[in-house]
Amino acid sequence: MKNDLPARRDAAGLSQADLAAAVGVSRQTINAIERERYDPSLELAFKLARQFDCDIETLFDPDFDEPN
Amino acid sequence: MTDESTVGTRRLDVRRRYRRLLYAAPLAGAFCFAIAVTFGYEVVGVGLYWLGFLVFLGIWWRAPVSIQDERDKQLERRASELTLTLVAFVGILVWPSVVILSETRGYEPPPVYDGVFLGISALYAVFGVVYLILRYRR
Repeated sequence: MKNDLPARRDAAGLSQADLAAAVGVSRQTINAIERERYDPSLELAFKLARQFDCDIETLFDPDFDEPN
Repeated sequence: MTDESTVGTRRLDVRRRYRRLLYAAPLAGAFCFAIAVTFGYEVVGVGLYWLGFLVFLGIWWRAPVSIQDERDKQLERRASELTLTLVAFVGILVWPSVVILSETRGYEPPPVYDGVFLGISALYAVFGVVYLILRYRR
């Protein structure tokens, strides 16, 4: 899923390891989310949004197809 | 770093340490088994082998932190799914081929063949039971 995580993490001056520690997952998980190779659970998405003080929709773009 | 992230870092360190122990225990058990068997202590070897797995189970159940994070669990689910698919593929393709070959060409499959397909059938039976338990549990 597309996301704004790298930019927000850089802006906050956090490394992937720092962010991973803050939300309780491995650094590899944060890396996989940033590279759009893993979609986080709802719980983790909420934790990440809370970490950056924003809404989930601001952080993640599900890029749904528009209905016909 | 904030206190919260220090706590988080510590939690990840603990998880990493327990995870290493988790995988090292059965490997050490298997290694000790091989050494003990080499020197003729088969029963001791089996005991050490089981000890390794007991340590594994102990860490799995009693570790103070979750050993896996959500992506690890997802990877494991996907690996299991792919393994079952590959095993099914072998069953679907190989079993009828051997039946046809034995009927048309008189091919005699090796004795291990029956064991392998019994094992595959048992695996799917266990999968079916576990699936139903998970589906209907409260």
